[in-house]
Amino acid sequence: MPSEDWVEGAVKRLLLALGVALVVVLASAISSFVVTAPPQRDALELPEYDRQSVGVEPLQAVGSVEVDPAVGTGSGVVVVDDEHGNSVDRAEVGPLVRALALVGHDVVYFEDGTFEEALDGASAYVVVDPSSEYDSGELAVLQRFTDRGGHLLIVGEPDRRQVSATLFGATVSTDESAVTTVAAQYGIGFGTQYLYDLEENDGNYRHVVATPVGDGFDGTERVTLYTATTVDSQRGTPVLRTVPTTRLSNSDEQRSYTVALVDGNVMAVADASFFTAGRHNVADNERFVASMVEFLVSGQAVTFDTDDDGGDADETPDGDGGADDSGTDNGGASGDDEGAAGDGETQPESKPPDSATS
Amino acid sequence: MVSDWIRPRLTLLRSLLTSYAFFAALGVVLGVALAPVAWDVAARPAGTVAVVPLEGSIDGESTAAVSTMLRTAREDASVKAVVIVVNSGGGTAAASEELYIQTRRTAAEKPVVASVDAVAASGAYYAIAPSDYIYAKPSSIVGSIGVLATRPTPVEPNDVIATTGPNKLLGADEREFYYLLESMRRAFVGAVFQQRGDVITLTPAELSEARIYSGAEGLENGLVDGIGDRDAAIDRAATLAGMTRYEVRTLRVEDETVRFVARATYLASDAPNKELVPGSYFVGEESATPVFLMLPIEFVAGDSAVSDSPPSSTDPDTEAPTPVNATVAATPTASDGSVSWRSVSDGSVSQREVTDAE
Repeated sequence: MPSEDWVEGAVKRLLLALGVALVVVLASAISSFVVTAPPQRDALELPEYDRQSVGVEPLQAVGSVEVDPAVGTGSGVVVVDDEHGNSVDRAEVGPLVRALALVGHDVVYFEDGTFEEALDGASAYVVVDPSSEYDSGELAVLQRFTDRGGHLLIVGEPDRRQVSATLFGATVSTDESAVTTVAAQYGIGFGTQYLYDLEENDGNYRHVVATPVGDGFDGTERVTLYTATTVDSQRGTPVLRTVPTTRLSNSDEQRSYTVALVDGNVMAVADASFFTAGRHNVADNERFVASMVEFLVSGQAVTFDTDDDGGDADETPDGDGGADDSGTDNGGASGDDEGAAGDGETQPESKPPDSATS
Repeated sequence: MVSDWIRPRLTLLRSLLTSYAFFAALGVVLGVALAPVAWDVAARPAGTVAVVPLEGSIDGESTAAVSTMLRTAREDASVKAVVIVVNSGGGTAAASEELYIQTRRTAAEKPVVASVDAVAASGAYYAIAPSDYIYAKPSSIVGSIGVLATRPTPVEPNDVIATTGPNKLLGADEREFYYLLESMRRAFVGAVFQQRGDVITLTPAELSEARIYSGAEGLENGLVDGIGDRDAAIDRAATLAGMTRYEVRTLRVEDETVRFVARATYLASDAPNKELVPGSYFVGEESATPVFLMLPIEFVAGDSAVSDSPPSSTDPDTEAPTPVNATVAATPTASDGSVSWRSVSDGSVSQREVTDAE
């Protein structure tokens, strides 16, 4: 006779069995959970990408070109060369032209006609990055122009490569700045290599930084140039030199290079991009552009008499007729006779030694 | 009768059970039965060296593949060290950075050694920079630490597309664009110096010149740690993981087509499906949106002078296939192919054996 004790006992034993089974199952689940837990991984830290390592503070482009109104006469004509494949569209020379207009100067483009006619009555001539050289006739006219007090601004560029895709693949050609003959006439030489700086620049290795040299540049600390070359001359005075961490492409020297200089009535600048619209007021560029404008407006207005073959700037034609264009010019030292204010600029060269270049 | 049969056998049993010789023999039998198990256990390698190939141009597909392989290597407990075999000229900037971070993550957990096959340039060098050790051969190419991008051609303001901001069409104006590029360069150079600054003898400026170096030159300037082949890399990885007995497994993603831009890398590769693609794969024939690359390719994009003058308007006659829409390479489109394991012989590996064993 199965007693109730027996049933109760059996139930207790059954419950014990179930309880033990449950404990074993739980233990298994817990240990499985613990054992298969993924290893502790710290979040990956990337200090090399911190903001101060990677962020770049751009130089600000603020300001406009403000020319000292005391310089120049408040009127005049500036001729811009457009006859030699120059880089002189509106964006490229806009800030210069605008500043000239604001001080009462007319800007005329030399596109056709004779060179002499174009320069007649002008006080300054601007050559920006030509792609064809000047011939000997033009050089002689230019020499007379500067001898008589006209101011010349030559802007050069380094060699650049044009890359174009054609049906047959890529072609690469070289763009050269054809300033060799013009510059050489005045003892000035432009380089063909470009300057770069990986330590101090305006956001890119080709956007080098330069500082002005000499008086008259108060408040101008940094000028940025965009793919510039070097310019040198024996007699000229450097007015803009790059910072000492600059290098020249394909060479190993790291030093300060001259990128703008003035030699009497001639100013040479080795970059055509920094005074273009949008770059003209980065850092202190606008001040240097103003000094370029001041150089232009302080030239003497030059006249070429129709039978002129080497006369000077006086009203009376010189009895010099017959001297050919390539001969030496001995009549250039009389700019003083003009009633122009001619404020502060150096007198024209009396006798450039090597005027006979070709 | 039964007892007559049993009694002698019981006596035998008793004598056996009290005999040392019997138990010794039993022990030998047991030992011999278990010996093969012990043999296998003792011969088991301490772990695996996983070989991850990084080849072809780094785009979304290859990044997904390599990331998957690295993640597999990290998560598999039997993998004790990783060797990355590189044969790549780089690729898009963001994809290269993704791989850099993946390698960094892996190197934080297990030893990582890189072996440069033909080329580990630009983005590919970025990807292996966090390695504990980099091997190259004397004619391998490393370096090219820099970023390049297609420059935006100004198209605003125009009458065709109306936008709500000046940079909507191109992403940045010209100067801002260079600053963007500069911050990428800083991240790249900064990361390389973060990982290898204690052995690199170049300055950040020198490294930023983005030169390529041979393996021999790399050994001198610290971009490379040792001259050696794949096996040297595997041995070193095992040593760093403290293993003398190890197995080598090469990972490869199924059905992956490896794309190459540089012929040198294409020739050196033994990928089963490889393809040589033109540079236009990365930049498009005429792409208006910028593509940021870490890849030393000869760059062709329409008609643009390599200078800082504003580019001329794009030639409308060029037939433009769909430009590569890869402003910044998005999260790699996961062609998460399965990662296949191929086991080779203990301690030695030849990539060729692996593919043949398929």
